[in-house]
Amino acid sequence: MTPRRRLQLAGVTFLALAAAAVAGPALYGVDPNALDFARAGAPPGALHPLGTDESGRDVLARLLVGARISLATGAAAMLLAVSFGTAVGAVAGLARPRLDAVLMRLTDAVLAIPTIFVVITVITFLGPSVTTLVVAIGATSWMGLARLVRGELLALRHQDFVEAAVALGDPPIPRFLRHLLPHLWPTILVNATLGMGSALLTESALSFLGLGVQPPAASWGNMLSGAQSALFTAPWLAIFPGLMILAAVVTINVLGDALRDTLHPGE
Amino acid sequence: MAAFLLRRLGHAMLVLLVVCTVTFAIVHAAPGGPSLLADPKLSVAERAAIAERLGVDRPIPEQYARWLTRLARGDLGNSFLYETNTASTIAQRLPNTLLLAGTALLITIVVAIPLAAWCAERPGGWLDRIAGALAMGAISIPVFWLGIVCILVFAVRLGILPAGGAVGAEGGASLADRARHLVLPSLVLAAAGTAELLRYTRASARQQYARPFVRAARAKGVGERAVRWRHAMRNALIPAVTVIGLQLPRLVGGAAITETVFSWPGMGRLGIEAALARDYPLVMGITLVVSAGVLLASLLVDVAYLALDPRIRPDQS
Repeated sequence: MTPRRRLQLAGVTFLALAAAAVAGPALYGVDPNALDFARAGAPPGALHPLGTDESGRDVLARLLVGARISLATGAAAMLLAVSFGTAVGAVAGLARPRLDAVLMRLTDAVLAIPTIFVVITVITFLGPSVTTLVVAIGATSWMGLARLVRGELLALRHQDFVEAAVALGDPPIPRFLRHLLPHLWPTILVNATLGMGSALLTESALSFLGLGVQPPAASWGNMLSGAQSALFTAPWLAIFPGLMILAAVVTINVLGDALRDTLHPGE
Repeated sequence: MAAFLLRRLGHAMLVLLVVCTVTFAIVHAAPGGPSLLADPKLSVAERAAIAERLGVDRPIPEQYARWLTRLARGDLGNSFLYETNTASTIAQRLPNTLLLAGTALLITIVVAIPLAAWCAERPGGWLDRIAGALAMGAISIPVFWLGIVCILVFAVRLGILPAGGAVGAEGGASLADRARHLVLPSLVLAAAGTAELLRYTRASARQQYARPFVRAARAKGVGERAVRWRHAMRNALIPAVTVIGLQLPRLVGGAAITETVFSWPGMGRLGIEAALARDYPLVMGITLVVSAGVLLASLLVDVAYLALDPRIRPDQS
């Protein structure tokens, strides 16, 4: 398949997922928080297409509502990481060598830290919430883009059009926004797409540990937090939310791959 | 070479100091204290006594200075949770994590590199397509969910492999028993890394095969096996080594989750327990041990570059 085909296919799938998240709960019309202990742990059937959980809540309804929180959390964390990564990379790439060295050692240090332990510690302090989750994921996934942006700026900053902007007296920030940022968009866009995929994965892992979105609100990750103990009795509780995460992340990663092949051909 | 290694070592020590400072700052800046203090039954005086015993009543810069001076003597302090020496608690669990992560890394390298060579030579072939699709799945799957599904299939349904732990409850710790317990966790942990290494190495091998020196080697009659390993793959391995180096922190992070899913008695699970209980010394100790390991590994990566590509001179970096 050509990159263009893959881009269209993954783009349409992603839009379908987003549409399901936005319109799905209203179209399906089942209350995701309605408890029904008489039918708790029912396997998939006519009444509940994907079964019910240990409190009798409809799994499909929770998957649709959970899509909103999971996708929004992933997108917000990705936006934060991309903004911060671009800013650090831009300052490092354009500032004096000393500041550049400080920022890059900091980046190296954060890259060497096993961030999961630090993230868990911080979340236990601040209390698990969507905001904490977004900040924690965003604050620990900016390093790759910072390095890429810095690298590209080092290659760009002595090109004629940049020297010309300097000679014309453009101040640094407008110069960056007008002349340099447009060259960075492909890198940022590809990194943002792939970053959203990994943010979704981190959200699900933290929610699995009980540190993410808190019940009764549903996210794909927290639907799995009790799933391991239900393996013997209700395996569908472990299967469907995981399949949703897998489907969403595959879509996003295929989109990122296709974007890269389209925007950086030959690499 | 010696000067290069020394300089890189100094560089690594500097980064490690930054790691200590950053972690210490994050862990201590957040409000709230160790979970030992959260017991509502404690009186104010008891709470103050515990805080004094743990040293958390002192100003943060002073705590940091004390922690650093103790660290310089090789003392990581005592765990709040286990009331034992942090270093020996970590040392007890470390071998299990090294066994798990080491096996996973071995699987990654042994599977990904030859498969990448095969796929790069036959782009669009059946194996290339299957490997590409599987790799896309493997980088997109939540590692804990892959673990749960593997337990569901291989332990619950088929019953051919144990669902968790490092050794069986009965039958003791024979080598075969240990190996059986290692199969699922190491494969689950290796999946994402293998997929990523395969994707990068395949892409970089494809570029190498298009370069003139490969055509030149073929033209002068070099055998296809030597073209592959001595010319194309040797160059393709340089980015592969970078990817392996970058994977190490995530290998440990993934190990923490994998260890939790498979009840594997390793350092990663210990770290998650410590973080959940706000056991500062243990969190700091584990973070430090892992970061030191990662930095040491990135030093080895730099040495590997020199061995792979004689054009890279030690004094350049």
